[in-house]
Amino acid sequence: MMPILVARDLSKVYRRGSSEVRAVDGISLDVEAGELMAIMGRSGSGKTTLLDLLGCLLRPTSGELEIDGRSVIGASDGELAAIRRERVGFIFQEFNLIPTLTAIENVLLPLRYGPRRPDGLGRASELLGLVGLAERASHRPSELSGGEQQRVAIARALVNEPAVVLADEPTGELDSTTSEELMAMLTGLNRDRGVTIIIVTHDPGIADQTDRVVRLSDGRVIADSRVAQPVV
Amino acid sequence: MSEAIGNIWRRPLRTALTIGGIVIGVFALTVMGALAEKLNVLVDGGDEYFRTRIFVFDAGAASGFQASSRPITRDIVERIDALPGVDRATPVLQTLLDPEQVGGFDIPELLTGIEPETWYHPSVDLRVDAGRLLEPGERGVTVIGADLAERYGLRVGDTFTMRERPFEVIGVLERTLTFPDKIAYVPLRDAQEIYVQSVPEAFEERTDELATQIEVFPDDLADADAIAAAITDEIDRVRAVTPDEVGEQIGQATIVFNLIIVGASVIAVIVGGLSVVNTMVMSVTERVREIGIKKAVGAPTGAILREFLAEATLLGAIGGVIGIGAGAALVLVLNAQTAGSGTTVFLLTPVLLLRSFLFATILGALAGIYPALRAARLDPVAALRSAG
Repeated sequence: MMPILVARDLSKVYRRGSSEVRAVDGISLDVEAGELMAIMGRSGSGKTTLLDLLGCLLRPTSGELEIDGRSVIGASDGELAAIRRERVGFIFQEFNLIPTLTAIENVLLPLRYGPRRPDGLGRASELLGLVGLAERASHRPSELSGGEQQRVAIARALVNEPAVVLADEPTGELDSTTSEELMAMLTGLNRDRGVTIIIVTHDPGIADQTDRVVRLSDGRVIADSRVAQPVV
Repeated sequence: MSEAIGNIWRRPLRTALTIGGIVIGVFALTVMGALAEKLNVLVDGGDEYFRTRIFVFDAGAASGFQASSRPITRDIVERIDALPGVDRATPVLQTLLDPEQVGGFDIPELLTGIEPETWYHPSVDLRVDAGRLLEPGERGVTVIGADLAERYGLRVGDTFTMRERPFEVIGVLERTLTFPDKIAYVPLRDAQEIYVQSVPEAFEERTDELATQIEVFPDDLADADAIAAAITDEIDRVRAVTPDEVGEQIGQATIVFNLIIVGASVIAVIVGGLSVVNTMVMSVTERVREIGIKKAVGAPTGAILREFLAEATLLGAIGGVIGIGAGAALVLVLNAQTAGSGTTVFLLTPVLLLRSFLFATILGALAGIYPALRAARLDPVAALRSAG
């Protein structure tokens, strides 16, 4: 297995007046293709900043980052957008669907900004089917439950066949039953389709369902443990 | 595009008010523009009509070249005719068709006495729609412009009473959209008699020598300035107006109206433009999160910029269409109301409509630039984590 994500000594420093906040402080990390990984830590530990860095939403202050063999350091805004569009899928805590677009249009959103794909609509429909929302394709987010909205977001994250899916507290807004269903869906995608998924969470119950847990504190990795998965 | 339509429809009232701002501006622009178009046609046509010759007036005559207050005697016609470069000089007596009627906005109706043997073709290009032009030696006949025919309901063979004298209409001119439409051409001798009648005490000259102006056709128009100079040198107490000066005088009339158009445009820019800027800035503020989402999934800066520009342009275009529609409707109604009197004040041209539409659309696009740039430059992380 080759690493799909390589971070070396990655730092993000914010300056507020005269003081410096090292939100991410020299993190090195390899993520293999097909891994299901959790990033844990208390609020303010830097886990969301790390996720933003890995997802190319933020530029690191220093360090190295490669996604799918491509170095991100020194990339222009346009190149970063292209990496997000082609190599990364995002799932957010607040679902973050566009309210004026239907479910299928939301799923198609990342494809809108790339080169035209003749199979785009078919793929989006297939993904909506995969998350169990084939019949809700023309509904707008306001007509969907929270769990349904997050499933649309999962389909959106997968539509561009990303190297890695980054999920920021994906169950944070869901009740426990819906939460479990959603995690079952994510672990299923990882197991059955080999999708590489990184989940930021503070919920140990979620972390327990992954193969690897990285713990952060004050912007540094304090533990990186792999859970032995039963061999089928 | 469909998303842009959906987005401007999210806030129907605000969108309606914004579009209303553009509508007002474009409405004013269309109506004023139609006024100016009409005037410009008058003026351009007038330019073409008058620019073929030099006008010689009595030096004391009122400025302008219509219906001068003092007559000019025709004995100088032969002297001008003899000057080098002059093809022919011909006396013309021009007076108001109805002295009570002073021209308002439009050109006044005129009674023009000419000598057909020297005045017509090829230099004055008048064509009849029905009947024929004046011929030498005729009396009591008239060739009238299209507006006069319409206003007084005249056809060839009818009798047209002007200044208490009956004239037989022998010809109706093709519509020119300018001066000749409102002119009744009569033999010079008839005009002279009418003129003397109205101000008998004014002259010692013989009636058949009276003219308000002498029109001089040069062999070559390029020599007009030199010939005009020669005329004023050679003959005392006359003023020669060259074709270029005629053009200038006519052109001044358009300046005012073109300024009105500019004024209307400025108001349209301010009212319409600011309302679009305001609406789009608010729209961007409300949709910060949405912009963040689009950026997160890989929308490049240019794509966000285009989406918001498209919305602003759409606002401008819709406002343009409605404003043009309302303006055109008003113009058509007003024209229909005045059509009976043979006068229309407005002229709608495809160019004007197209220009108004493009103006509104470009205005929307320009007003959208700043809000769209704001949207496109948002930091994706800050935008994503923003409330709302």
